Amino acid sequence: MPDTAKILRFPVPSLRPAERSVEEAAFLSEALLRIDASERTDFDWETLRDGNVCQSVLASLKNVLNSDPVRVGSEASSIHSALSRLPIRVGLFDEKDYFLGEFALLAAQATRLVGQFENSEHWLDISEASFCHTLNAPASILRVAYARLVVRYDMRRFSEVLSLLPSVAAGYERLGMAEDLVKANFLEAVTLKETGERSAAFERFSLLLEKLMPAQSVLRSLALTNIAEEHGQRGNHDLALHTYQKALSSLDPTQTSMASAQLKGSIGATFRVTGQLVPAIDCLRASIEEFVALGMLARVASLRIVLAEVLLAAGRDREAEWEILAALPAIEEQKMVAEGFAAVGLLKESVGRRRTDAGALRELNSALQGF
Amino acid sequence: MEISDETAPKIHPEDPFERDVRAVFQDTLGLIHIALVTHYGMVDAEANELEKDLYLWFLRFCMRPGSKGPKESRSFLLVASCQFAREYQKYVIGSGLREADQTTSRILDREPSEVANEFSRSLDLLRFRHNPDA
Repeated sequence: MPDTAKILRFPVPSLRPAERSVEEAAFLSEALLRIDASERTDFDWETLRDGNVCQSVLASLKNVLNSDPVRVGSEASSIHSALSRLPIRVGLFDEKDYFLGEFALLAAQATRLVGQFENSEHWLDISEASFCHTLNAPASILRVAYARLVVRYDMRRFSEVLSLLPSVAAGYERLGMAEDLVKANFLEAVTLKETGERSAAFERFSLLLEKLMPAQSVLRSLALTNIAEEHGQRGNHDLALHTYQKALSSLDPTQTSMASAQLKGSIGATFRVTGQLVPAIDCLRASIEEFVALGMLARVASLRIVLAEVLLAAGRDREAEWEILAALPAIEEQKMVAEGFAAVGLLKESVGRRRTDAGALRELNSALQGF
Repeated sequence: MEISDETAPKIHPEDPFERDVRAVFQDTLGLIHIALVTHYGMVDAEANELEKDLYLWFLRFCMRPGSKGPKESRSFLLVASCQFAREYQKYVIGSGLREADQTTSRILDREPSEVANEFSRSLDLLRFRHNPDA
């Protein structure tokens, strides 16, 4: 019997209106999300008192998390704020805390995707605090712990990820959370790759393909992308491109997603290594376009610098200058390199003189690895 | 005991997940009703209303990420039943609408998870009696 139940204090449901059907809830959820958050009245927000409506809004936002993290972050944060602010009962029993936890977790995931790591950690604290008051809290808290490790991965705090991940994975295993366990295995593999343990990472990615469930197509594509990258690193470029093709076919071609954007960037990098500069440029541009749509500005700036290098190599100096000029403001604003980083100054000056400093560009590119 | 469809979300008969949830709920409902009426002293009508809410809650609870199957979530359903019954009775007694007898007072002093644990054991015993070779 779960001990967590001892901390619950359910409200009395007197005078609670009847719950909507799932279909009605989906309709109301769509209607609510169509209204701009700043224009929603308390009356609009009150539709969230129905557990099925809350569930439906949550599902709709989760569906577009990877393709529109900016919007999801803003929606999740306004919904969380409304649920906390309004004196309304939400759902049944522990569901107000559950939904507060879920919307905060969603806000954390969305802000992480756009590079706002501190903000993301703040949302994770809020999420954890709410989940503590729900039944089956350990499962939800483990999901928050995993999300926290993903933020640390993005902040390149790899040793922390590798030391804390086994505990999260063991928790997932104990609670029978198979899908989440696969995600934890994936995080371990990408972290090993980042710390230079490429063979171990390659082995983990290959094992992962056997464990993935049919619904985890994005993760399958990401695992294949990493396997393809390793084939490329080992000089097996044909095998790499073949594996990239498999990765691409795992994704929905009509959807803009982080996986698809990352994949196109990786294919571009492989074409570049094999000296096929024109397809490399096309793929990098397609990747940048998708990252722009996702609002991932740090990643866009970093890819523009990669693209500038390829354009220079292809003798298209003017286009390279445009990419550099488009990337530098974001690199400085997002503090992607230390203040006063020499290569940035050199690049600015050289581009101003229409003679791009290839050495400074290379140095900057190397400093931006990981973004 | 059947659950009224008045407030329940429309069940898609072809959805095996919802069918499983409903089956587990129906299977536990007898015990829940005993807990609410006999042990927590709720009147039948109150217990019936609460059971409708409990079904809706249980259906969504089983859909939460990280939840195991409906069968494995039965213990949570029992905890939720006892927790809610306790809060409800405390509210009703506290506001002077009802007098508390000794049995009710005793159970209200106990942790709902502890009470649910006992019920859970009764459920296991009942299952064993019905199917000793399982």
